[in-house]
Amino acid sequence: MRLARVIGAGSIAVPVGALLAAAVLAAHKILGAVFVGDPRLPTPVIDRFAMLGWVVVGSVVALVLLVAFSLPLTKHAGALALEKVHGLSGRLSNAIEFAAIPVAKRDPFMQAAIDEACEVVANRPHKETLATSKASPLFAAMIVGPVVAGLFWLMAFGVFTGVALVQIRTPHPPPPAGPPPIDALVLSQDDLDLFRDAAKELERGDQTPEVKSAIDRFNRLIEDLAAKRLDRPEAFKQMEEIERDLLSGAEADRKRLEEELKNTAKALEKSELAKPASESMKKGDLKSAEEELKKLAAQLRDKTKKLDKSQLEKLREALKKAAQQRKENLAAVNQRKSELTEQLLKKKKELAEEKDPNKKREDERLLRKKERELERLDREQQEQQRASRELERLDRELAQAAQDLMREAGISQEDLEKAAKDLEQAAEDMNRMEQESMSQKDKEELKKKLEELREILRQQNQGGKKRQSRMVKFSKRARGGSPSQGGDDGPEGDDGKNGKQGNGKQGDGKDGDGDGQGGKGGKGGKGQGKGDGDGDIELTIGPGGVPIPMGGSGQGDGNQPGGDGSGQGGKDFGSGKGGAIAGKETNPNMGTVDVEQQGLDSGSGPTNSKVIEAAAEKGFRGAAYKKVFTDYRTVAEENIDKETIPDGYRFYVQRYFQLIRPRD
Amino acid sequence: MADKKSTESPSAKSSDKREDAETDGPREEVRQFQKQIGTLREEVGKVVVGNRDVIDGVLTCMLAGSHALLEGVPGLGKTLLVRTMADALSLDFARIQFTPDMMPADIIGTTMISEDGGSRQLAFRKGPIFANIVLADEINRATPKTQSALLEAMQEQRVTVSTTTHHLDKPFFVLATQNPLESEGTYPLPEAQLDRFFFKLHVQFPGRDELHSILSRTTGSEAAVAKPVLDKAQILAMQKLVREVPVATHVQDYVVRLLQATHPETTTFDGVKRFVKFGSSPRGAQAILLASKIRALMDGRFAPSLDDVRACALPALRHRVLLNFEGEAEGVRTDAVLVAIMKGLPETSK
Repeated sequence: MRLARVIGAGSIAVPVGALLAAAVLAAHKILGAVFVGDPRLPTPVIDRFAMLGWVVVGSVVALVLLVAFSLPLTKHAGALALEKVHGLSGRLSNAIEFAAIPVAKRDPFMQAAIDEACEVVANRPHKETLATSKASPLFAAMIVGPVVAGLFWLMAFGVFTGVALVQIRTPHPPPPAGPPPIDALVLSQDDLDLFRDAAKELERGDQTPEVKSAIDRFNRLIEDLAAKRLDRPEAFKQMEEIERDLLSGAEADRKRLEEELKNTAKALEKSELAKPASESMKKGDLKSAEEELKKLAAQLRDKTKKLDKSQLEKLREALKKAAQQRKENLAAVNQRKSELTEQLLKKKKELAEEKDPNKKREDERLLRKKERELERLDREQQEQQRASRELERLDRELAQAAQDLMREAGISQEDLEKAAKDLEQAAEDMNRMEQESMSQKDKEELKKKLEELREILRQQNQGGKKRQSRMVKFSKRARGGSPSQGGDDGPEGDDGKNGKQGNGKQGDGKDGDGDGQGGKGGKGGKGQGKGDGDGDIELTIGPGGVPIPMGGSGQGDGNQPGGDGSGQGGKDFGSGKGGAIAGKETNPNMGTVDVEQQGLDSGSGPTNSKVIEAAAEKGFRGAAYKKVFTDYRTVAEENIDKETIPDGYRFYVQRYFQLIRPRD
Repeated sequence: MADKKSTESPSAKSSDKREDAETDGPREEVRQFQKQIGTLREEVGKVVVGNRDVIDGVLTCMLAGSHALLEGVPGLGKTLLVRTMADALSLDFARIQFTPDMMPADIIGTTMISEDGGSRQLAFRKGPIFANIVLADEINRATPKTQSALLEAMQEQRVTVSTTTHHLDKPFFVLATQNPLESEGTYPLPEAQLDRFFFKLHVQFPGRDELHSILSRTTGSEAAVAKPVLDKAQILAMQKLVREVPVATHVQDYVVRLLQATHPETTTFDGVKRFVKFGSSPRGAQAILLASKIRALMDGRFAPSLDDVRACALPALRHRVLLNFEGEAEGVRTDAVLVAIMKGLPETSK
């Protein structure tokens, strides 16, 4: 029975021990592979640890088996087992129990029980002699079962360990990775159209290559987003790159141009005649500079006013210097660059021949320094060349004017006329440069679009799929479709408190009756009046940008009895519909800005409120809506420009107008 | 063993002979007991079909000098069984049909004025409880007051009327029945009173063969009648013999551990902790051990085994272990809890 118990304990302890031993082996292999040649954990130490682990595991298993064997059996365990097998009904255990009592203390029943047990055992037929092997079936119950179970576990662990070890020994190259699945950003079709249109508007023939390239990249970005080829990090990375290139080039070019113009202005200011033009150039006011140069040309042409020779001489000197200094500067840079290149080549040669490692390191450091300087000069040269290209014609014209004035000795009216023409040509160059600076505005516009796109994507991330779903529905409605079209008719979720759809009766223009209730933000009123009511429009921009209720409320000036009350929603702006706008209530303490705009009554066509109501129901389409939208947007943009709308809210105003923009 | 005997010395042989002489008494008594029980079973079996366990249970209660509670739907032969037992044992038999308007005096008797030779005297008139075998039919229909009167008599084996105590004749054996289905207008026996029943026996519905036998026996022209096979003296001798049977320590220890295992405070069994409100009283252990002795004697053995204990545990404990609300609500049966305990309880302790 002890053996059976040992086997039973072993059937658990041995597989567990094997598992632990396998774990130690695996750890040994992994550590050996990771710390190969590493002095922090040398191989002999790993070997010692592994050996110690195996010894501990083996000792624990042996201890478990020893304890299982040495623990005492329960009282009469053997007798009870025999009784069960041979159907002795407690005779053996009782007899053993009674036999332990001294004979003197035994009663006759005890003795009879002992005798009966002896007789039962003795009188059994030979084939039915008590068999301990049956009572404690070691082989059948205690060996086969646990051993089979143990073997199964050993095999399982063996296979597991073997596979693990094979994997560790033979590092496989990473499998050829296909394009990793991305969590693509989804932009609604409506927004995609918005940005496509914006890019189309920006594209023009007379743009600088940088602007064209940036617009192309922006287009590609929008198309990639449409094709769901970009995930969030990639989209933001591309936007950042476009913006960076756009800004860095633009800034550098603009600064260089301004600097060069200042240099020109500095040269010209020495002449009293050219001073006004010089002042304008210094300020960067090209338009004014153009006018001043034209004035100077007119002054030269003016036969009535004879110019002083010294003044003309100074003008000539100033023009000459202004024309030449850029070339001189560029030549100086080129000179410095060629010198540096020579030094660099020489240094590289020396470095290749140098054998002293300390000196070599020092030379390498110097070489890198010079390379950096060369790069800087390279950039400076390029910028200067670009600026020179821009100002080349101006320089040429100024040089020509100076030459014309050089015939000082016999300066004639013809010569002055020629100089005047040259200066006029210079003024034209100013004009051209001004035109070219318009590209800068395109860049700024593109930058603005990028910012909008970034903010939309950022907002979209905050709203999650629910927001996307709402956007899709909104787009459908905006285009005049029903939200239920396409089977997408699930309940629309709200961001915050539900706005309540108002029911209103639109004033008909005669008696101006209208009442209604908007969402949380606005409430329509009653109004009575006739004819010439001037309604006021109230725009309320909510905090967080979520709700921007726009309820019509106005004051009607009735010219009939009873029409001069302060009813809301007069003829023009009866509050027919509150906005079905979800979101938090407007907090009046959160910096809301009320903008009042005088409504316009053209006297023909539907009223603005009717147009807006129709747009809300049938989509943002039609000429009438476009007109109303344009009016409102102009007001909003003016207020944004005037900075009456806080920075944090501008995006939401713009976004609002983007969403309600007319669709063709 | 036989080989060992042949090699023993003459003195050892004489010792064996002395021991044989000593053990002849118990052997004979046990043989006699077994024979009497066999005869009784046979006689009862002539009238009562099947229900061997119930018959053995009732006999066990009688030999232990205690009482049995029979539970089963009407018509299963509970009354017939008790009446047949009374016939086979040639004992006085009384049947009390309990009703809600029954008073204690209706059971134990009452003092009446009687005229004897012109003088009037108060005389005690014995109630039906003064019989050897009392069938208390549908005991749960009587009021608690009446039930208490019966149960007190069962425990004390005497009744006190006015200032006079009347001892009940021995053997005294009450067989109470109750119908588990009808609960309206009944007064379920309180736990303390249930404890006074040695066994609670479930009378099962007979099987197909048994039904055939019942029909054959009861629809013919001759009704089977049990003849008396045991008298009072024999029964009392048998009761005495039961008390002489020794119990091995490990068996008694098993009974004690079994009893402790029915208590939620001391048990290690989850089922008991979860579903049992109160475990069995020590009367439960007494009942198990006495019943085990009787079972061993019935089987011709001199001492009870663990199997005897397990066989007697259910009828001895099922009415002594009380389930809690959760157990009742989940329809847990006490028998299932006890079976789980016996399945998990080690046979011997270290």
